[in-house]
Amino acid sequence: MVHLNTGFTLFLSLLVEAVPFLLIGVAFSSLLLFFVNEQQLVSVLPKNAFLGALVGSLMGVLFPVCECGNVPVARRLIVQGAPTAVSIGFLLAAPTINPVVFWATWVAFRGQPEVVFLRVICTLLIATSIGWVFSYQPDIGPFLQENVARSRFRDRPKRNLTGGSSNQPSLLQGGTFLQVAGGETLQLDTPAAQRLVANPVQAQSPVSKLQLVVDNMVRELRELGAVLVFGSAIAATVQVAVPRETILGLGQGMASSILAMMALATVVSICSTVDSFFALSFASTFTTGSLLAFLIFGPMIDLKNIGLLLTVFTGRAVFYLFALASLMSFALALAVNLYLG
Amino acid sequence: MTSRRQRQPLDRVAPLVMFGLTVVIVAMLIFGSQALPRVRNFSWQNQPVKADDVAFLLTFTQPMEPDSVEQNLNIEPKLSGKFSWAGRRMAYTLDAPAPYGETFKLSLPTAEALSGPTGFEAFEGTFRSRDRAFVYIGVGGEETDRLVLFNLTKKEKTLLTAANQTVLDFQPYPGRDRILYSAVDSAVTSDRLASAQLYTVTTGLDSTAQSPAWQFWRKNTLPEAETEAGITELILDNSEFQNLKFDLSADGETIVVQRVSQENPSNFGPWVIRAGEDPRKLKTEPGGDFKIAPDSVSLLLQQGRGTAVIDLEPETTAAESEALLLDFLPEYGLTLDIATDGASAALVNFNQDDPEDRFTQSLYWVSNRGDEKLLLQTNGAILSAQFNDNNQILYCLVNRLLSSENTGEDYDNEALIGRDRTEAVENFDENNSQFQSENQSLENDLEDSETEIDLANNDELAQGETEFFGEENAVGLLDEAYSFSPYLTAINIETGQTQKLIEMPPQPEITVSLSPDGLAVLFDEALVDDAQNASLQAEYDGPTHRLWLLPLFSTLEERINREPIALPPTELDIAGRHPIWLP
Repeated sequence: MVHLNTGFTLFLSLLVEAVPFLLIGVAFSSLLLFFVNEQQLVSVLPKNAFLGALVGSLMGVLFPVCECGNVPVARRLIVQGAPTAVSIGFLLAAPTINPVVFWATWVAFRGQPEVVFLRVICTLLIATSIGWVFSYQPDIGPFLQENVARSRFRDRPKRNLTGGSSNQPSLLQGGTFLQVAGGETLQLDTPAAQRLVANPVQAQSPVSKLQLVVDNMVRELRELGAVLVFGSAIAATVQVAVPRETILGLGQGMASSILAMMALATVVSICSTVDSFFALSFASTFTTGSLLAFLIFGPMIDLKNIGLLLTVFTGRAVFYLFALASLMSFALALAVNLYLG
Repeated sequence: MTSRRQRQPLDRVAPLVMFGLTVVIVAMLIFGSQALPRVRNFSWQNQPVKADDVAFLLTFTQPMEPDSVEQNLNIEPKLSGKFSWAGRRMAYTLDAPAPYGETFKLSLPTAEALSGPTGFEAFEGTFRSRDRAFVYIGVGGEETDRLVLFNLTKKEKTLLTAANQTVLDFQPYPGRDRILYSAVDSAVTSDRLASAQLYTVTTGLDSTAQSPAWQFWRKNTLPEAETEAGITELILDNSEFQNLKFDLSADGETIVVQRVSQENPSNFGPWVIRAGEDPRKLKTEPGGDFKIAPDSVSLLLQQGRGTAVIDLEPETTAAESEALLLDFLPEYGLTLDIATDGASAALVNFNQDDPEDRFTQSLYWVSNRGDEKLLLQTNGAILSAQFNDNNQILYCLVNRLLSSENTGEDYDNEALIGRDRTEAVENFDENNSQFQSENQSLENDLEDSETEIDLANNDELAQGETEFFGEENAVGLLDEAYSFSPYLTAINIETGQTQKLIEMPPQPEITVSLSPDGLAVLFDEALVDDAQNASLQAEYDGPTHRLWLLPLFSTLEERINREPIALPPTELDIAGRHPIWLP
């Protein structure tokens, strides 16, 4: 009974701390998702692989989305022809490198400010490196799911002709078009997938955009809120149900603590806007490196995210992402445990 | 589509990178040695520690074996306390506030982490408790009637206020950086008390520790430039109102002043001054003595025969309505002290409803849950009471009724006791009369103590409530045959046990001040009262007032158990009166 009480208190305190940040995160991501035009963004991205990966990693500042929202955005980026390095960098870093997450981490780890900064630096490092690795693949096509690849392939030849500009008049393109008001054209034979994955909202009127923003907020809140409640429940249960000695023993091992927290991050799939509060509840028993691993690795790869990633990438690409991200997180966390203490 | 099956460049690069990372990790696991555990942060490092600081935190880089730390942690001089652990953080809660005026060394030469390598990076830290310092009103020489700050630790004396000001009363700010005081111009000779103005003066003592510059989120409350001593600032002038009694809130943000209009004496009542706001009159019935509660947002005001608890928040008075009455304690006519946690208070019941005890005073401990406990009953007067640091002991100054021929024996002549009692009430109200005749004085004092007056008549009450600053007591009003002998006693609130600490010579006015660390009591002694004992004064050429320091504990054990004992006081070589410790 005492355990149940403690567990419930832990659960509620996690929830109460985290919900405001979830609300802010959802509101931001919905707003910016609809008002930032990715097409224009893609046209100004650097072509250099390393710079592209870095810029992609930093793009989270413009799209404050947690890992649940970043896969669709990354997918749109790929479809619209952004360089691989940019897309991958964004995919991995955006959930962490954004103002809302930084603030939430700051609130949670004010007592250990180094965690906040290490989280940002390590994430940038990992995302940029993996983006760079992926840029060795000149054509990411073979690693995309067929529907994504196809919608993209149709675009490629003309891109090559015009040097990447998408402003080519549609009259010079082949296909069947509808002339719509204001001189715009709508290509009728665009593959269905491309129309589906492209941000469908950009063409809407402001009022209906707002409507969609609200709808999106409610939907995301429902989905992510459920994950948050579930995650908080797990965190509370783990701390109450598992004997303290076991947790301490696990949490104090230099390597075992990192592995444990990474496994936990993968399973819990908690949203990056609130995961710092989750990690905070382990702060007293786990090594700093393991907390860092949780905070770096969790937003990049987790069970929920893998499901989403598999809608864009092939299993092989997801495996590379997973393996590279986990190895790098582990190496960095281990270095922190060893040399920073 | 065939390309999907072929080996792509990524298929070559990615495994290569993975292999490289694995090698690095294995190398780190094999060759890397874990950093030795060490203290990451000590919350009191180089901080001036005050009585409110009850615990410090030691943060380690790794979770530690609690026993190994607890056994090796050493504080010199000793500070007893309790350990508590939360992961890699250890809190040490002191049993009693750190004695003031000392430098402490904390050292942890060795300890063990819960896991990982053996060894520990030795840690040493230092912290200082605040200097012992008190402020008094000087007597004699250039100090006369000026505020004097005495740093007992450094044995330094600082004159705070200007020579042309006669200080009447004062109260230190909680940050000990400033002192709020009321004073009149020394040049004013007639109706001096009506011209009192409120000022603050800086003490030159640091109030807050400066945070490191990189911790930009912590605000530094005190700019460096303000730390010079003796800078006065006018808080409230006397242009329209006389400023009578005042009280300063525990957070130092609110001042309540009893004011009466210079033209219209019926325009009388408490005013509230908040930092950065114009003074406003508290819309409530006029009352007598008052005290701001430790929460700094409510006022305990003597109204009628009881004590009203009034909300000081401006929201409730912004509308043209009465200030919010939070509570009313009908039996208690006087609030002596409120526990620092606000959960209980020491109140005096004048026993007006009980014909048998009509001329006695009872000291009650009253909690905010409504529990009451009688601590002391006397036919003399209860002058003051102060809670100790953990609110378990009440130091109580009581005036015992004596006859001059038969000291020590309490009189039971009701009429006499009653009459003298009013005198005592006058004393503890610090209600320093300038009245023309004895009768008038007594009547007024009776009004003050809310004994026999029809309180419905506010005008009359207002006129009767002419309280003044200043410490000149109407000693001459005492019936010659009967006098009071003040004594200080410590009452354990839980057990009700009393321990008499010191008997003081009969005198009109005493200030007793408990040091913030709870180790000693400071009191003043008036050797000669200038007006009434002119002959005695002629024979005696020493100072008329002197200050005494009374230690309360002789051993650490007594201190931790909060069992003060009677010890001989030490005379301080200082001529002064009304000493008050700085927090």
